[in-house]
Amino acid sequence: MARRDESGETQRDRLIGLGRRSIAKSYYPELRRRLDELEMFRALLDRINDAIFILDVLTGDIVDVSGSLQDRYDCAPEDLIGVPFRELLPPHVARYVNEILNSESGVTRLETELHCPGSLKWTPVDISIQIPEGLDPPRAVVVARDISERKRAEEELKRINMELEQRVMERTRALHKANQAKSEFLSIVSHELRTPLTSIIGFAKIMDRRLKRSIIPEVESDHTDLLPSLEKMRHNLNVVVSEGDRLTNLINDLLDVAKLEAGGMEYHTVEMDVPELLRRASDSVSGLLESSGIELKINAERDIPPVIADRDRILQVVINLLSNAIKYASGEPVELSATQEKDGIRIAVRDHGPGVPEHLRESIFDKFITQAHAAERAPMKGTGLGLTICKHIVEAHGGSISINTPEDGGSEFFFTLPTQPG
Amino acid sequence: MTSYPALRKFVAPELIFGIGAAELAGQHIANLSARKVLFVTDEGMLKTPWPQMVMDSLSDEGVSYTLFSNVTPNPRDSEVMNGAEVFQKNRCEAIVVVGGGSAIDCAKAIGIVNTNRQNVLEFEGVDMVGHPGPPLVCVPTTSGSAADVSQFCIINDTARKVKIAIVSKTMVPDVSLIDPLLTTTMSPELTAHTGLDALTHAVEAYVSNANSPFTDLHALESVRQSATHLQTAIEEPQNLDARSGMSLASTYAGLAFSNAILGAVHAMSHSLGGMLDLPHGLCNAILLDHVIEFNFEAVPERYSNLARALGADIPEDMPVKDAKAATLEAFRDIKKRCGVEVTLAELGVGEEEIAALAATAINDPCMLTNPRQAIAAELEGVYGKAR
Ligand SMILES: [Fe+2]
Repeated sequence: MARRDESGETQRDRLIGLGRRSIAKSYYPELRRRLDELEMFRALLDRINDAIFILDVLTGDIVDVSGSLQDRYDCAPEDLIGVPFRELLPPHVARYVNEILNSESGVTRLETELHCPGSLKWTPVDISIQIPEGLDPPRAVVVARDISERKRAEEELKRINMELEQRVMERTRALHKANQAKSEFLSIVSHELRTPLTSIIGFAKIMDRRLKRSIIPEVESDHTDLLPSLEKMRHNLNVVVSEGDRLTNLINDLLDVAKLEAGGMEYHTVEMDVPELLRRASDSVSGLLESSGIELKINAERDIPPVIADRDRILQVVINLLSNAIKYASGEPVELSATQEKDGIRIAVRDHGPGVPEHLRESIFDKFITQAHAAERAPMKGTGLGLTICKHIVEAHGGSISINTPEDGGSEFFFTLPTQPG
Repeated sequence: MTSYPALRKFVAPELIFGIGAAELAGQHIANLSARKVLFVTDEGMLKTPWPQMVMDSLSDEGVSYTLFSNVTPNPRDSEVMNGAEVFQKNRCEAIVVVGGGSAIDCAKAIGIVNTNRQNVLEFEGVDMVGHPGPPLVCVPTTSGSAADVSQFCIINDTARKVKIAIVSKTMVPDVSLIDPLLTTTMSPELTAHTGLDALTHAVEAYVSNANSPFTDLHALESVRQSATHLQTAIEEPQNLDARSGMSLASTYAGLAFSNAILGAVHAMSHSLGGMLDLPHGLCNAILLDHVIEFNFEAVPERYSNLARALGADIPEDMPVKDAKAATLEAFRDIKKRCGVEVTLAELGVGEEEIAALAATAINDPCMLTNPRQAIAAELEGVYGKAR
């Protein structure tokens, strides 16, 4: 009869109330379990960033609060029980609370501010209002999420953007002003330089002519001993003229650069035949070729399509590259070529001179660089602005200019022009 | 035998006894914070004024209710499950039951099915209830079963054709409102059957091997009350004096047997009720003296005390054999006075059924506290004598 189970109890023990699990009816264990569950939820809710309000739908009063309140809104949950929820909102939103509570729609979301009555601290929040179905009495659940962090970040971003914009504008204005000042300065300087130069060159030429036409013939017969001095004077005058011309070129180039940089250069584009361009360029440097005894080889591919370009400016580029090549040719021939490539027409000028030192290749198209390093190349008579101008012109046409250093020596300057206007 | 009491426990519900107790149902439910209750009763009871009286007390307290009256005598498992569904569907929070032992057992079972979400048959046995049911307020309309104070719940397993016992202290109701007025509508026959059930409870608790000083007090006093009032209650249904006496007898017996448990009479009676759907109190009454005859020698002094409580004159020095005869005489006398002279055979119990009845009875938990250990064959003998 006394059968014992695993716990050592007999059925009789349990029957007469002496079993391990024999307790009188008590709701406490179940209640405790539910309470623990509720407390856990409450603890969870109190640790999240949202404040949760339970409202009486009929009155709009707060019946329960959980979540973070003390830190964010400066008040204790118990202070809010029984308080109409609209008192937590700014007046323009508060007006609609009853309307929202009586509406049919499931969830209402709005961005507004929240404060505890009596507190001056308003916190920006995202609010969602839900009215779960089937609750008696009807309740609304309001979840308020503190968005001050997001707001601050947004404001900061806006401020930085505005500051940046402001700075860019100021800088642009300053740059524009500086450019304008530079252009003005250059044109004034050029003008002020050119006027006396014209006089210097003009009078030097007049003096030379006088010497050659009137004075020397007179002296030739009577004062032969003076002739060498006079010839020396003539030579010196020629130096004045040629150096004056060089100075004029330099001033013209400076003006060009100033114009290019100020965006003041105007291009008159036309359809231009490439072989003809090469011919005209070679014509222009024929004097230089003759005096230096350098041979120019022209090589244009057949059927090269025309390019759209400013004839004079592109001619200026080719002439500039040719003159440079002739200057550094070291007696070897210079080659001028035009080929059709995938992205346009490639025009190249190749010399067999000493080439451009490696450390200059990168910066050779920059202003005055050539000038600064002139000593490292052969004695040169350029303004140092030619390549800078070329780069401006080519790029204004949508092309690019660059330098190659072939393995067998010398250099190849080349630029491309798109066949269709960019 | 030791002279000091053994380790015992005594559990009783909150009780309110007296005329007018039933009308306190509303107040108690309100105090339990329930706003809607399942109101359990049976169809027969609805013909009396009592359910409406209790409903009115609920309404007075603002408590609403859903009526569930689909309960038959010897409540079935399916009725319990239906009731649980009604409870759940109507979001009830507590149960009020107005009725006899069947309705109260059904209400108890509905409660635990609800909180545990289990089939009622899974609770069979002792301490098999995980969570207590919702608050239960009992308003008994019979004086016998004492289901309103006991930890027992008997349900009819219709598939297996047996009565299962759910025994757990959690089955003791929260409040029992014992109003003798409500027993005045019992027929003389029902009064007799339930009264003899109460008497059997007192007897079996007193001779139980788990008896205690607490249960002895209640058991003996219950027998005295029955001896004084049972016959009058049967003969004068409106006699509130007798009705109150029997309500006391029933409640005392309930407190005694709920804690000291029962014995062979109930084990054998449960078996009969499960197999043949016979009235519980009647089965007990038929078996009572035959079981006493079988048990007597195990605790002769205790049985003699019971007979004395019934009014028998059994001197201390009377030989056991004579005391037994006097005791049996006292019990047969009260049975006769209550009009129970029928035999099991007359109720349709065939001889061929006895073996099966005994086999079921021997495994009934009530056998664990019977003062005499028995084997099935011995129970067959007792059944045979009662036939
Ligand atoms: Fe009973």
